[in-house]
Amino acid sequence: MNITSLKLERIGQIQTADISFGDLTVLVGPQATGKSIFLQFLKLVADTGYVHDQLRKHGIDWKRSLPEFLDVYLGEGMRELWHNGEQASTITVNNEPIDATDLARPLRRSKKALVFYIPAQRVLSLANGWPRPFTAFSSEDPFSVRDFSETFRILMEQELGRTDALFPKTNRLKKEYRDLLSQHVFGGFGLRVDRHGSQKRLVLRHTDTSKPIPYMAWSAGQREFVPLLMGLYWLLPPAKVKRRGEIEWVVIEEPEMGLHPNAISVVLLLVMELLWRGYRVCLSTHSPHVLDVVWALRTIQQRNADSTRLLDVFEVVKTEPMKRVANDVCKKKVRVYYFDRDGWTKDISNLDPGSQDASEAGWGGLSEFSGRVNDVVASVVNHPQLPGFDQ
Amino acid sequence: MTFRLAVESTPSVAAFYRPGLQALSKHDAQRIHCANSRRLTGSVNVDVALRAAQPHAKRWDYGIGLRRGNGEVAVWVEVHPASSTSIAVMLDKLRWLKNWLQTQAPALHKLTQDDFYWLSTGAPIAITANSKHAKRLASVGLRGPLRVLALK
Repeated sequence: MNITSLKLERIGQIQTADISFGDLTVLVGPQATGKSIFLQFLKLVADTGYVHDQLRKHGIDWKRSLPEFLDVYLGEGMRELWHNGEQASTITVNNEPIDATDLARPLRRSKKALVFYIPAQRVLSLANGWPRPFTAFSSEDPFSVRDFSETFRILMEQELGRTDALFPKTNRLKKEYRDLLSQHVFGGFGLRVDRHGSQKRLVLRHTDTSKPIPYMAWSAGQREFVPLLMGLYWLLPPAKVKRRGEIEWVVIEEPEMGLHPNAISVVLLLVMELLWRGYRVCLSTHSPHVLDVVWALRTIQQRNADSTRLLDVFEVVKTEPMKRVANDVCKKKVRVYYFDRDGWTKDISNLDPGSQDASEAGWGGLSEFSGRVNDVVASVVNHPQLPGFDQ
Repeated sequence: MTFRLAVESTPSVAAFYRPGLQALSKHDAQRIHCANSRRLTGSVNVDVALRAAQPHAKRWDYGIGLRRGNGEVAVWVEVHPASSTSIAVMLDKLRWLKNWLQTQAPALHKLTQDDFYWLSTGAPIAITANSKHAKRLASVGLRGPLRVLALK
């Protein structure tokens, strides 16, 4: 199914979330306004058969009950999000309402997923430096976390675990990305598979002969980033294949998690790579940095400017492969939606800092605070009786 | 003192006082709002008034009289394209204005509080609130760039 729009009504804190997707769709808004719920429902409607297959494969049975299924899929207690009666919850895909009870009925199971979901809690996928299997999580944990961790585990066991060097690794990421990641995330360290007794584990090493640095000694940003990197390795297969399997969509919750702005820039550059490869990407974010990039991209598009200006944003070398990425990304459709406190969504794709709409001018609250600080500072500078005149 | 008297007691701009927003171009005036328009007492086009006397100076555009509380204050508005490349020009203009107020317009200086605004021309606003450019402006007491100025 080619999903172009998804509308959720009266689900948890969401009153109406009505999103028409671009090639890149960014969701912003305060905490607990339904962004994650929305993205998990996107995964569910796109991959119902896959979700059922994974759950059943791991011995989970919801007895065809929608409430039980929601507890299993979204995490324990989440059945409360769903309303029945006159003000019932609804799901509409491509302007066609779907019967939510179908989501819990045994349908045709599928081994293939259309949506690859990198959850905000991705750090939980690593325990003592090695990915946890699906069944190592409890029923309280959302499917998105368990499934991501399981995919990470399979990647390590079937593709990467036999080699020692995971980063830098030549056949997964372009050299331009590797150089930036080495500088801004790994600080010159390499990510390696190490053996501690008989147990494999991921470690950082400065050189092949230096002492390994175990997972718990990594920086918070590195602990957050490594699962994301492994997710990207899954999506960026080696050889000449542009995309992996049937995957069409990539959802990344809070790509900025734990990272310095320079490192966020590199992650966003990798998002550009995903777009170039033909994935449709959905992000949720609390970082104005992410919207800075979207703003630049839209401005380049609107002004029909040279697409390589996008590379200036990232301070990346303008090699021919990077120019091709920029040229392609500048043709992509980008949408930004604001999830407000009252449960509604608003299209703020223009990101106009001068908009009369406060949610658009303040980028869904992400630059609102800075604006207020600027006002206060300007006022303090000018009072009392013009001390600012001396400047 | 009223804004009108302050303008008329400043020799270089005395002849350029206009009631309401009449000193502003129609396009600029349309983008300055006040819930009670009667509070917008008068205006002066500083740029035009000082063009002959200071042709090469980075002159400021407008002064506006605004009734606030029991008195009147002077509000200063510059209309300029809102891109980061304009920051240096705007800082020069603000510096020029503050110097002019201190040295040549003491009556208007007395009416001035903290109302210095950058009103964008029709072009897109290319400065975000969280940018270093916006912070640079705030650090010298300049607000904006704004597409519409709502005076309170």
